[in-house]
Formats: sequence, C-alpha cells, structure tokens
Amino acid sequence: MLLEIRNLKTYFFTSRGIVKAVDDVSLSLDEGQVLGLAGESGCGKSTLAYSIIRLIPPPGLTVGGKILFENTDILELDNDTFRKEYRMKKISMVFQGAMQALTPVYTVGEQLYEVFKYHMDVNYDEAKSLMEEQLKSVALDPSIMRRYPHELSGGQKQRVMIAMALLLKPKLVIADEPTTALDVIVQAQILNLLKQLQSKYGTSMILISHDLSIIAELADKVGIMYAGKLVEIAPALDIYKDPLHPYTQKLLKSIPRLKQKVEKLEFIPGVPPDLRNPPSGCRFHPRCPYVMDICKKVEPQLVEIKPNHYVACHLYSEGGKR
Amino acid sequence: MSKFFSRNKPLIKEFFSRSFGIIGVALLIFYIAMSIAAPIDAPNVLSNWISIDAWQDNPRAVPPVWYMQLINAPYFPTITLESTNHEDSNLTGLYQSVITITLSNTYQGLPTGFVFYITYEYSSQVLTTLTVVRPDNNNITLNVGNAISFPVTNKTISYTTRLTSDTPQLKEDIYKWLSSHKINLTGFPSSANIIIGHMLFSKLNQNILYRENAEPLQGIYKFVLYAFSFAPVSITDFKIIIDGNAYGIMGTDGNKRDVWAGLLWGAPIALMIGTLTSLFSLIIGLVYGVYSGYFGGRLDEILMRIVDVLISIPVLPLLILFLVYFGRASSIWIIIFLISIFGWMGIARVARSSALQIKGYPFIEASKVAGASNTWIIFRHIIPQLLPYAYASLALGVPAAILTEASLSFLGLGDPNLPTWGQILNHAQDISAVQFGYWWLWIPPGLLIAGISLAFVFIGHALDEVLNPRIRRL
Repeated sequence: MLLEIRNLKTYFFTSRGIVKAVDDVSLSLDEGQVLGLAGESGCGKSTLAYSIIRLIPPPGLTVGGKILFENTDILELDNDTFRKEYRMKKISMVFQGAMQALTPVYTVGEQLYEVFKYHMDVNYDEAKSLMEEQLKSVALDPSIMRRYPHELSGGQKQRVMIAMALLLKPKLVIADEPTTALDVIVQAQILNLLKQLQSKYGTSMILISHDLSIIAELADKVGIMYAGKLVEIAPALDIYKDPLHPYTQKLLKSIPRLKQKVEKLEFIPGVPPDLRNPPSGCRFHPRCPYVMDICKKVEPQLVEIKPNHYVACHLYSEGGKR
Repeated sequence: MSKFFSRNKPLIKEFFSRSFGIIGVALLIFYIAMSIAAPIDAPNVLSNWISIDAWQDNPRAVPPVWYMQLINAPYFPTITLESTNHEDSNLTGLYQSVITITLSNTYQGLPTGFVFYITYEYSSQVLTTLTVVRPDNNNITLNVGNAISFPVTNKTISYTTRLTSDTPQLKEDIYKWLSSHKINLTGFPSSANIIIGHMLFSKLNQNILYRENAEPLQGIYKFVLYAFSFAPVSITDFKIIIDGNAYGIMGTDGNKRDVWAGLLWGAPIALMIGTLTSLFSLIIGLVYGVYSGYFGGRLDEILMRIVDVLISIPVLPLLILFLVYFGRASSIWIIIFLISIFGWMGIARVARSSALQIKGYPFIEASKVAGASNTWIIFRHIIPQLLPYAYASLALGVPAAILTEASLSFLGLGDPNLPTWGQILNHAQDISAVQFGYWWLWIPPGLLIAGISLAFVFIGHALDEVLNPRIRRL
C-alpha cells in the first residue's frame, strides 16, 4: 500500500468559526492505482489534496489523523525534511490554475531546472537532457525551454506543469482539477497524456475533479466526498454502474449524456451545508430523498457493502430500507 | 548586456520616446561626465579639501575669469609661471646660478598677491637676489636670500622655500624701492604698513600705494633670480604664482579653495550618496515589506505597525539629532546609513501590498509543491516581480537622498571633509556670500543640486510610465 489516510481531520480556524473542511476521512491507495475524488465545490476534496502535500493555506490546520506514505506518517515529519525529501520527489501535484502556475519572469527551462535545484546537486547541463526528455514525453518541443510562460498556450502550460510534476519520477501525483480552464479538445489531450504517462511510469495518482466524466476516463477507484466526508468509495466501474449512496446516484444523474435522451437534467435540491455548523447525523440528510429518522441523529460509518465497495449510508446498515 | 538590450528593446524604445526620459538621461550623462572629469581635472582635491596648505597660494573669494571678461571688468587672472632652466657657473671659487622667468603682461587689472617657490641645491651659505625687470625700467631688487633661513648643511641638499607678498623682508625691499623713487610714504611709517601684492605690476606713481587707485603697467616683465655661494649651488626650480582678482572656471571661496574642483567632485559624491542610499533603502524596504506580506498574520501586523511608527516620525529633526550626537565625526557613511535607515518605509508598504497579491497566485503554490523554501520563493519568485516598481523607486529615491544630504550639509551637519554641493552652500552661508555678491559660491551648487534631482525625477517618472502597467500609456 502506497498511501493510507486514517481519520484525517483538516479544519480552518476562521474568525467566524471552525470550518471542518475534511472531517474524519480514511482511504487508501495502492501503487500504480488512480483514485478519483469527486464532489461538489467546497466538499473538501482539494483540502484533502493539500493536506497530503502539507500545503493547507492558513488558517487551515490538520488537527487529527495520519497520512501514511510508504508506512511513514508524513504529518510527523518536520517541514524541511518533508519539503526536501517528499515534495516533488515522492509526492507531486498538478494544479488547476495552469494558466498562472508558472512564474511569469522566468523561462520554462529555468523553472524546470529549479525543481532539480531544490532536490539534487546537478548543474544545468546535466539536468537539460532530463528536462528535454521529459518535455518530449508530454509532446512538447524541447525548444520551449527558452520560452516565457506568456508565450505559451494554456494547453502547453498545463503540459509543462505535468512535465514538471513528473520530472523527479514521484510515486504519487495529485492532479487537482488538471483540466479546468482548458477547452474541451485540450482537455481530452491532457487527459490522454495523463493516462499514458501514468501507465508508462506506473505512478499512483489522485485525480480531483467535480466532473465525474473526467474521473471515469482515468480512475481505477472513485471516492465521492460530501461536506468534508467520504461518503462512498469503490472501484470505478462499481460507482458508475451501481452507485449506492443517494448523493452519488444524484451526482451521476446530473451529468448530461450523449447517447441517452434525457428529458430534464436532474439536480440535487438544496445547497451544500455550512461546514462551520454541519447538519447532525448524516450530513446529506437535509437533501436526501430517502431520509430516515436515524439519519438525523446518527452519523453513518463507511461500511463495505460489496467487495471493495464502501458506503456511508444508513440505507445499507441493519434496519435500512434495502 | 547585449542580451538585456535586445530583450528589452521595446521598453527602451518606449522610454526614449518620452521627452522626460531623454532629458533625464541627458542630464545624468552630464553628471556622469562631471564625475569622470573630477579625478582627471582635480586629482588631489578629495583628500585636501579641508587642508589649508593645499590652497594657500590661491586668492581669496575671487570670481571666475570668464565672468570678469563678460562684465568687461579689469582683471588679472591667477597665473603660475615655472622654470627649471637654470644657468650655473663657477667664477674662481664663487659659484653662481641664474634662472629667468619672463612674463608678458597684457591684463587691464592688478594682481592681489604673489608667491615664489625657490628650490636650491646647496651645501654652504647662499646669497640670493631676485631682480624684477619692469617695462618702465624701474627695476626692483628683492633680497630674497635674507628672507630665507637655510638649514645648515655639510653635504649637498635640496631645499624649497616659499616667499609671499606678506613676507616682511620683501615688503621691506619694496618699501625701500618706493622711497628711493620718491613716493611720498607719509602715513606709512614702516614697511609693515604697506600692502605690496599689486605693486610689481603697477605704474610707479603716488597712486601705487593703494590697490584700488593703482594703475596697471603692461609690458614685458623679467624675474631674474641669482644665487651665489662659495660652494656649488644651483636653483633647480623657480615658480611664481601671481594671485589675480579672478580665478579659473568658478573662482575661489572664502578659504581660497578652487570652487570648480569642489563642484566637479560634488557630482560623484552626490551620485554615490544618492544611489547607495536609494539602493540600501530599496533593499531594506523590499525585503522587509515582502517578508511581512508573505508571512502575513501577526508578524505582518507587528512589522507594519513598526513601519507606521517610523513613517510618522519627522525625519529631518531626527537626522539632525543623530548627526549632532556624532558631531564632527559624522562621516559620509554615517549619513548614508542614517538616510537609508529612515527612508525605506514607503517602499516597504508598497512591497508588502504587492507581496500580498503575488503570494496568492498559483505559481507560488506550484513552487511550494516543487519544494521551494520560503526564502527562495521570496527572493526568486516575488521580489523579481517587484523589480519594475523597484527601478522606478530607485530612481526617485536618489534625488530625495541627495536633497537630504544637501540640507544636512547646508545646516553644517554633513561630512566636512568632502566637497559636496551642500558643503559649498554651507560655506557660502558662513561667509555671507549672498550679501557680498559671491554668486559663484551659491548659484552653481544650487543649480547642480536642482539639476541632478531633476535628472533622476525625470528618469524615474519615465521608467514608472514604461514599467508600471497601471499608469502605462499605450
């Protein structure tokens, strides 16, 4: 097992109360596996990602739980060790804001080289061939190294970011909405690229997106988050074929289909809860069509309903309807 | 360098498309030329500025030569004549050495004094006379030797003596010369009562006694210097400095110093004070502000309140206090240090606000993910983006620093060892130059201070317009 998250709690201590952005989340990831994390905006999926790479912006803090990466609790490491030994070398990240993820005042080559500078003792010429190779692997011409970010298109920038994230062959890549702000064709190219590189290097990946169709492209395993909780986690096929949690079901129905004729797109009534003061019991209960009394009082736990298919819903516990 | 130019060609072009930019750069080139000229034209001035000996041969507080020509006033410039062309001879045991200097005097004015430098090589008692051969043949013989106390010697040594129009023996000789030519010396009981600086070049009549009345005598003058001894003697060097009523390009000040040399040296010193102070303030302000903004939170709060306190203190009174404390020890470095220490707060505020904005950009996050340390991010990813602002404020900080230094110097709190324009103004104030009409002591330094400030303000504004996207004109 490459990554195991146990009871992770990341809270934001704002002046108007504690926002429980990630609350008691546990999941695991094997080597070479792709985990998709889906959920509405503000459900804590990005915060989960930032918790793993330990870059939660203040006033956020990880207040509990463990993140075991190759059996080391990375939350216990001191900042410098984590920065030098883990970031980019073992865990790297591709951002959603590819448009602005490169510093405007340096060339692409200079910025790629910086990654080497942080972690190893190589000079530019030694690093150059590695960087060229990496750029070729993301289908970019190595001459792009002499370019400034403003000279590149959005797709090119995202490719550079991917090249950078894979430069030191990390074990785990977190892709946080890697294709937002890109047009559909470029999106497809980037997804293909990610897929191809992932299988080529055998890298594990956590793919974060609100778009279940993008996750379907890549993920072996899909986790659905709602209001800071992981409500369902299962192999990708299971999620799409047989979603168990009412939220997952609703989420899947709200995706427009090409091949099926849909009368009217469904949406989930209500709004995501205020994470400063989440609903008691199951956090989805105010919006759930199958709400029961127990849902309002008792918080459901993740239970393995089918092999490898976990869901946190009272419908499937003893005394549930199904 | 060429890469820099080719890369920034459009910006440079835009900079020079502004008249501001061109005027600023032209002025700056002028000051840089002055700075280059200073060590060439006036090499020893920097170390000798407050030395009395170095300037003692100049006339006191006289205007520039070109000014006297311009207003068509009778003048006599300050001139130096020198000869090493000595003729030595030996007449049966009596050794003799002669040097002659010839001067063709065409000036309408009268000098104010004269200085002789005579260098001997001798080994025994020397008898020396200087004969001034005048155009009207009323020659003067000065018993120069009687005025010199030669060091006693057994072997041949070289010895230089300085005689001026204030030397009593020379006054005595002139007094005798006047009385022998039947000048009425009533009211002048002894040689100590006469002033002889102008007399060598005046017509020999009753008016000669006062310089204001004396009439200049034009023509060929010869200064023939004889030295006799019973041992070998030679006059190896004879130098005459005639102090006129005009001097050089910018006249002299109340301490006989060459104002032009001071003005020239003022340029590199002002540029140094300005750029160093501006650079130091900029570095302090940038780093402080960016740290504050980048780390944010309570640290930011504390750091910015410190800035608020410092910025609300009036700087000049505080600087005066500090410099009074340092007293005469206040060197230029202390002044640069103090102005820098009190000049960075505005920059810090702007840098902080920019840092607050930049730290939210994804590329900062991306650098963190890539493993960059905070210090690295500050110096490599935030500060470079503030450079456009930094260049402009660097240029605008220079005149502020120069003006502050000039104000302090004018108040007598500057570094007295250096010829800064503020020091020259301070000296002008000391000797009431305005009241006496010594305009060359206060107009040129004033203009130079104004000009250098303008140069940097123009450059700063042009840079700001070119580099600052918010006010860029397209």
